[in-house]
Amino acid sequence: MTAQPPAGSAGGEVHEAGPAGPALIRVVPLGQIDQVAVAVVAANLQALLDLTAEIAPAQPLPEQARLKARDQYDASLIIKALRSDSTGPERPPPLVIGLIPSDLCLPLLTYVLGEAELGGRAAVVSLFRLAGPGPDQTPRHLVYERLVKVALHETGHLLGLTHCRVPVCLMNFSPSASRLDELSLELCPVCRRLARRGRARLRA
Amino acid sequence: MSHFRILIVDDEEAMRESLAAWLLKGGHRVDTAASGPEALERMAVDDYDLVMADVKMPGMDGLELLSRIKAEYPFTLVVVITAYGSIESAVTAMKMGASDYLLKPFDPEQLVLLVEKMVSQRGLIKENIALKARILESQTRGFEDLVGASEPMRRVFALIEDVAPTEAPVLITGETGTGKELVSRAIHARSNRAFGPFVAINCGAMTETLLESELFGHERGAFTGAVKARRGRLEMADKGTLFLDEVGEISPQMQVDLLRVLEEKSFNRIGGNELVSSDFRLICATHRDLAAMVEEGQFRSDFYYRINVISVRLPPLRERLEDIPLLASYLLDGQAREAGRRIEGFTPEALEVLTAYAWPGNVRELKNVVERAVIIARGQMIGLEDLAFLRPAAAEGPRLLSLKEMEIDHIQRVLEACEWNVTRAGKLLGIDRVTLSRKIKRYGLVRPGRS
Repeated sequence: MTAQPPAGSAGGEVHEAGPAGPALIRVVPLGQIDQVAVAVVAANLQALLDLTAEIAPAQPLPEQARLKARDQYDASLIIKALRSDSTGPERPPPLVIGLIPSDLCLPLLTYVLGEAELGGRAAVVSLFRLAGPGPDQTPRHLVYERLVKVALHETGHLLGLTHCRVPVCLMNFSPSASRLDELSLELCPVCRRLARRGRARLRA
Repeated sequence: MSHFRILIVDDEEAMRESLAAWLLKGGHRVDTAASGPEALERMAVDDYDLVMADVKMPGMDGLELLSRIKAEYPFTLVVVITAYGSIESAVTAMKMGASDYLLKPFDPEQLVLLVEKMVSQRGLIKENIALKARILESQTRGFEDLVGASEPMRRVFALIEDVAPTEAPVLITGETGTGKELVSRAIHARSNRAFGPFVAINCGAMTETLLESELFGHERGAFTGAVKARRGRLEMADKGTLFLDEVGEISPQMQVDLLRVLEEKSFNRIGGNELVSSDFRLICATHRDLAAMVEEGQFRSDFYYRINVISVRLPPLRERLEDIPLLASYLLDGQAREAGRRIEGFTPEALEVLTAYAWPGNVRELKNVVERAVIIARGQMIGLEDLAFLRPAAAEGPRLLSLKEMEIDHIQRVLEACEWNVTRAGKLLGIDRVTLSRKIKRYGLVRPGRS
């Protein structure tokens, strides 16, 4: 599950991980993000959703999305910014997912763990609540596992998948860190089929 | 059904789009509207299971929209969204019929659970609607049992349509067997009380004491044998229709008591002190000429005028002979199906006989005749030979009968028309039950199907 970040990744270059072929999804760290976490997400997007991933250089936290009164970032504004991001030497990948250490919300919702447009281009995921409540330090690997699940879930939405009623499917709705732990790292057969279709559309 | 058609109404685009995007991910079909009027425009062309509306909107606010939706689309669920600090508007909304409310910002889990709750509520509503449609269908079949294309019947149907939606008491008059109960059911089925109870009682079929107890109910110990409290039909008819058949048989004292109930919409059970209220629509029926009875002092005029706000007269079958082929075919279809027989219809000769007969027992008698014919018919058509038990002059040719023969014939026919209810037949014949029973025994009259 864990992976070493590619050598030389601090230099601001875009790195691909995995099989050849153009990247289908770009992972964008926003602010100060643990690089291992970023790599883990990229690797799992590839392994579990068969989406060739590239890791973009870290970008600053988008202050225009900050809701000062709530000390949170508006996920919809981050998505807007990510959507229009076209940095990189070549045509950007069709999908982009941002990772943010700060708490995310929507104006209507008190918080979100992640947010994505259904069938859209961009998604954003927060690590903020993945450590869970309580003073005890959550083991690192568990935080990474939760992060991967949220990232895969949001990417599923980008591929056109809606919430699934199968309790352990990655697309089942999970509002909390503890609920995330009940999910498997897999899509149910129906969602898997739908994801394949979504991917085929991207490659077309 | 786990996915919904949802309409989101909010003047703020960011809120609207953000909520829409969330609900889309839940697999629901989502539309948005930027204002109350726009929402109503959308609802006029599309069906929505759920409307989520912000309370604070310029022009038509969420509460006004809620009230419009509840009036025009009573089965659509509405959830209002309001900001913290304005919980009163949420409470008001609930009182106005909102299914739930959300205080923004809300937890994503709250939103998902709420939508799930609405889905299950909607499932129940849809089930309810389907059930009610089935009930209505089966009740309106009562209307279909009132078959007739003749002018008198078309007038009756038109009157039923006019009268049904009102709350006016209806008095249905007509000979025995003309379908007075069917008409009352048809009125009930078309009224605003269609989903309430239809409670019928035959006032002619019981003694006064029994009738009183049936109507008013009684408390425990009200009289010997009253071992427990019992709701009367007046109570059971609350929010529905009360049908008093043979209202002409009610004693003057009972008329006074009922008049009071009609005026005050409340009464006491027998032996009870507590006032029971009941709101029912009254339909009465009688074969008697109540106006004449009022003139003769045999029926109270104040009660008569109270129950006779609208009058529906059912013509006897002999006044609408042109309906007989239609009616007979309709009854034949039903009887043949019930008996599991394949019978196509009547021969022309059989129809002639049916149309020539006087039908003192009206439609009920016709139904009995058809039922018997279906049982004894050998072929796929009902012919003359299957109607031999009918004793019209047309079937046997004109014959001069002795007084005794005429008496036997008449008693037999009246008994058939009253389905062998000796009390009722006696009343029709103008003799008491005991006398009639003696004549039945003396003449050896036997109910068909019995030894």
